[in-house]
Amino acid sequence: MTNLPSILLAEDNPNDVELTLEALGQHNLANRVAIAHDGVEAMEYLRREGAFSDREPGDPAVVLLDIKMPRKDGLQVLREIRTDPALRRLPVVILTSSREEQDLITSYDLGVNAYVVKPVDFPSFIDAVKELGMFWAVINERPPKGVK
Amino acid sequence: MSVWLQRIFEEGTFMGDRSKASPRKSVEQELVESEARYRALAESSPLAVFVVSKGKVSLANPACVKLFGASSPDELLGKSFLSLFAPDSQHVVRQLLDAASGEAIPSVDAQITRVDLAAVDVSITASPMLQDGLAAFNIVLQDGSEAKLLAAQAAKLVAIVQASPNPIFIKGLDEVITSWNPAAEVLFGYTADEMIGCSVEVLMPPGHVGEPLELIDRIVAGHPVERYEAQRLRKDGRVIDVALTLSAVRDEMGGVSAIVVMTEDITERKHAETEVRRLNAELEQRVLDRTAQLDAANKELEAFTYSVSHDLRAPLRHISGFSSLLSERADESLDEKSRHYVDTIATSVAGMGVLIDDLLEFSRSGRAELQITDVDMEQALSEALEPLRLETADRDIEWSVGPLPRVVGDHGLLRQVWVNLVGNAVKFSRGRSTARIEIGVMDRDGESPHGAPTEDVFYVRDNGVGFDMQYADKLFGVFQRLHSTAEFEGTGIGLANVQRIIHRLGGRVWAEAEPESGATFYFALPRRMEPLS
Repeated sequence: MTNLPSILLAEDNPNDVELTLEALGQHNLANRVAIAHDGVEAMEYLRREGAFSDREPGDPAVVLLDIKMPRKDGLQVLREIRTDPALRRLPVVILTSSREEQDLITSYDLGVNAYVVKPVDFPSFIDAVKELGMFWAVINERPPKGVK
Repeated sequence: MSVWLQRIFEEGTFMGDRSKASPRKSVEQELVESEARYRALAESSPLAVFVVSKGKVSLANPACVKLFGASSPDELLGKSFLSLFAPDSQHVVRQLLDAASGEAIPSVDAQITRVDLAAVDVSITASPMLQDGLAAFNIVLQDGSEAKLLAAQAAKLVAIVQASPNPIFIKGLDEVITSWNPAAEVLFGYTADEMIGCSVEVLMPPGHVGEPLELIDRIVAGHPVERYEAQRLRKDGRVIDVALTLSAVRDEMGGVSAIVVMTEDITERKHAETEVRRLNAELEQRVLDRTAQLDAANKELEAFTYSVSHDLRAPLRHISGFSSLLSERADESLDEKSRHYVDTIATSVAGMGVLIDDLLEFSRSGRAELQITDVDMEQALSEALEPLRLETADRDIEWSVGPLPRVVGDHGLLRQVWVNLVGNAVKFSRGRSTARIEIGVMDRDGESPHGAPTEDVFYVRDNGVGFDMQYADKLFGVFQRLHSTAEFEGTGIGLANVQRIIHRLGGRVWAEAEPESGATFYFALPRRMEPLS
């Protein structure tokens, strides 16, 4: 097993980052999480550019993507992932506060793998994030590498 | 013998042309042939013709027989010529014949006496002739009553045309104007003297050349031209809008000999039409502007709702998360009071979360576009019941769900109505050992005068705590609650949402209740033949 983070969490709100890590920590997944603070950082991480140009090669098992982020929002990140030949099969889960129908439609149209609304109630939030982490980082089979 | 008769004898008959006659034929022979030709002519003439020889009628043509009301020429032949005329006329007739003996052949008015003794006005023309070689008179009678009638009718028509407020003129196929009434003078500014003999081209504004000929073609081809809209030029240079109605004047052969043009000045109407079009365009623009403003306002509202859903929920989640983490971490060290505080934070956060969700739902039901279709109400209800039945699996509830008709409405919104109404029934019957919830449709309620129901009335009845009817008007207001949160949880948005949805669908909603005896909520949806567009 590699040390490579299995989860890329793209989330601009530090409180949400902390709570998400707390939830993942309860399943020992917290140390396998990379953080991007907005959409631009998320794409730089995935493409090993900018601040992430030195990171070990390889894709995360899943990207947990907030929608509302500065500079580049989650839907734009999703669009870029799906149109990038090297990234297009990457599992992406939208993790957001928005239950807006338009966001759901756009996300699914762009080929999102799952769409999860962050529960306000903390125990439910913990459950949701734990299950997401377990499923995508552990249970789910990743797409094969190097196949175009 | 008169000079005239002498000339006849010298030159031969006035009916024949001597120069063309065969030289072998005798004068007598030619006379016989000439008389035969004359008879043939007289027989076929539409004018009444008779011949007077020696003061007696010696020939009468069919038109003459008809004019006198006789049944055959025999009734007239041999009669004294003067006896055919009324006594008062005999004198002038005699004078006429005397005059006809000379050079002049005048025409006079007289009265004849018909066989039935009726008097008829005629005009007489007499001309001397030869019959059987003897001097005679050829008398032509024209029915004066007919001529007078025609003249009177013509005069009447002229008077009508002259007095008509409608501009009327007559033109030939060559476009030259032959008649021009006073109304035309007023409309075009030209007098009849100026226009008669002039071409209609004078009335054409620049660029209209050729149009009148095209209209004439249509008329000649037998197509009527009614209220043909065109423009014409007045004498003062002003261009006016006109509607032309053209009709053909046809000769006996059916050919078009002239064209009557009736002109209606529609300048004002045209102006009004232009004004109406301008106002319509302006109104349309205003509607577009308003719609754009509304769209913008809606967009703003949507943006606001979006940030409410996102931005308000995030801090709530954080409060919930960190207070929960705090209570876990400080678990042992928290005294009872501190624990109560932390729990209250969690409860309030949860309540506010529900409130935000309900508000969002309420806002969505107001601005979402209606998806009007044929809705299976039983399906919509069962979708609403499913989660409720799961939630109340541990309760003793007697459900009674009647058959429901299909309606025209929005499936998703109607499901929301059922969720709220049945949810209330479940909630407010919580204290009953056995709750009874009845859902159905009223039997033939809301009948129209013709007997056919105009709406379907649905109801949800429970045996719960009910409410005092004096507060019924508050039921459907936003945030209005008739019970304390401690008694029954809730945000006071559910029924407001129900009312908004039913109103949007063109229906109405009301309730009946008694404290401690339960409540019944009704909503009525209009029956429609066609789904709303």
